[in-house]
Amino acid sequence: MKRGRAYEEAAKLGDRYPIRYSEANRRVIIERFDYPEGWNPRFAPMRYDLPETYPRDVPTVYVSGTVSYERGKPEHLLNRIHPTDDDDGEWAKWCIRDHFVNWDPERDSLVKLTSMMRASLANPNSDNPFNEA
Amino acid sequence: MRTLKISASTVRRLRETLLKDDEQERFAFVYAGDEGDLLANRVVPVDDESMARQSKTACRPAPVVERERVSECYNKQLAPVLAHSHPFSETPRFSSIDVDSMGRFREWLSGLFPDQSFGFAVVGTSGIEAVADAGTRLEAVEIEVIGEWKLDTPVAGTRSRFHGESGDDDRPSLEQRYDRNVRAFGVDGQRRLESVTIGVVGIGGLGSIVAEQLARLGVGELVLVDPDSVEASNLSRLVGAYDYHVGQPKVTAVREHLLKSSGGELTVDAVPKRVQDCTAVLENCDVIVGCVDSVTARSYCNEYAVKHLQYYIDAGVRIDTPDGTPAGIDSDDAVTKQRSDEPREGTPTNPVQTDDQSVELTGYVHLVAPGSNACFDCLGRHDQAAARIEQLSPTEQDAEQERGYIDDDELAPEPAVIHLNGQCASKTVSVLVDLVTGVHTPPDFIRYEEHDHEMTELTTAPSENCPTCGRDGVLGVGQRSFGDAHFEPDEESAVSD
Repeated sequence: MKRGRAYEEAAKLGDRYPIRYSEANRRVIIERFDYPEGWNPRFAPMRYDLPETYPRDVPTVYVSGTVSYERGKPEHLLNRIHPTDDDDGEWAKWCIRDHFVNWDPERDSLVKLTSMMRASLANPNSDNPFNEA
Repeated sequence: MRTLKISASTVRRLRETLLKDDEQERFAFVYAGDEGDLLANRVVPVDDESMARQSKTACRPAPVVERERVSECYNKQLAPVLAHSHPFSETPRFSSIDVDSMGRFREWLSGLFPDQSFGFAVVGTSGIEAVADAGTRLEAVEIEVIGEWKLDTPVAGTRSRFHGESGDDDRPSLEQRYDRNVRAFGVDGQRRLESVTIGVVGIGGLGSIVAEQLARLGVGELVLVDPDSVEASNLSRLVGAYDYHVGQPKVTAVREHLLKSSGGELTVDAVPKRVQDCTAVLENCDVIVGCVDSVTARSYCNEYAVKHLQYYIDAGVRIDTPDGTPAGIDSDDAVTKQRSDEPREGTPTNPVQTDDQSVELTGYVHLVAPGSNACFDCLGRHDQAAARIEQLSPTEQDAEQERGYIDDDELAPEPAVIHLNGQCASKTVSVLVDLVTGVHTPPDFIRYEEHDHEMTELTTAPSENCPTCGRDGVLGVGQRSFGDAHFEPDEESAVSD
């Protein structure tokens, strides 16, 4: 993982959100993310686990285990999948595979990922949330 | 003595920046990773307009520029090497004026940035001389050019990492053992081989043959890295492994064999771990050879080599069948992929005879001389789909299979045969021998098509846009650590209820 770049991207995210960045664990936690309308509570953490190959590959996204969607079960929420260090269900995986089929390290970043996540959470059953938005 | 490692492309850039037709002295900063040795990351020129003083015999940047560049360097956890030119000189030496300036600068810099490394260099039309801070004084630094064969004008007086030991070698048994090698590439070539440490990452069908050949060539030391254990399905290809090795780490089995192959003179370090989990073992390797079956491991080795300006030879083979089904495996039999690309013990497989299928067998050998030719990512060789699957936990893999995101085919073991592995391994070793002995210029990339018996050699060049060795990459940065951090937005920008 290119630590310099990941650090810089986390710092950029930190312009808008409180961020905890762990180099050793390759992890970025948005401590207070503004989940879109339809989610409850509206403010909760979100977590990105950066792959060993970052920025060549897209991070894994986990939403807080405390949030729920008021309009049914979101298609992209994998409730049964937690990070390996999470025994208590604090986090649940969000499947972004369909959104980032061709992650481009030159173009994409944690900031862009966060924008995509806002769109995806706003349309949690859509494979093309940017279009729907 | 410390070394300043610099890629051929960086040397070229330095010369272009500092040596112009008007024969004025010029100045540039070389940002360098500091791993004991200095690893050149990039050249940051100082424009003529930003010079406080410039003539045919002297130059100095404006103090504000010096401070900015040095601060930028340290913020990036790099060390500044302050380079200027002696445009009239082929093999320059620091002048008495240079020495005085460097002394004053050293005092100033040590006061502002104590405990930070830095160096100086003077560049001529052919040579480069460099010194680095050694606490209380400046000491001479050797220059090593990565990919020096790529330069039209070699850098005079450089050190090669493949230098071989000088002096008497009082080992008559070894002289006899390697007599035929010496007749092929000379005493110097053989000594160079005996002086090197080679890291072989991936000790499967390909890596075991590479290791075997290197052992018999007489290399000094081998470091074998592989987390897997020997399985029954490996035995048709894993050289050095026998039936009683099933269940043992591959590196242990092969090490035992290599010690016999070499007559006991070879040092073999067996590391039964993923390369990502044992980085330190690569530090002393002169060349890293990647024979892995994982995109993630390849990517890691490439990035490591680029960061540390180490040579990396990446080798691989592939067998394609026309219907996409691995030849010899019943397509109705979904064999779940294990981490080691081998079926689980006891999983039934039903080998079937194929009906005259045209099977394509290819191999490749890719030499990475960081900054001087194309790396793994310059050539776009990273496979995101494969990397994603590799990094899933078993639970995630099951979940994705259930949802149809992963086909059974993607998890099936790849076909493999020893003769293709042997061809590719021999080519890999051939490239390494060229690199180490200097008998031939090593090729950048070889592609071999076994089914057509055709071999193609390609020349490559690094890409400016490469995320690993390009402009915004990690060339020569070493093993930086920025540590953990907590970022808080200011009140105006924070997201609020």
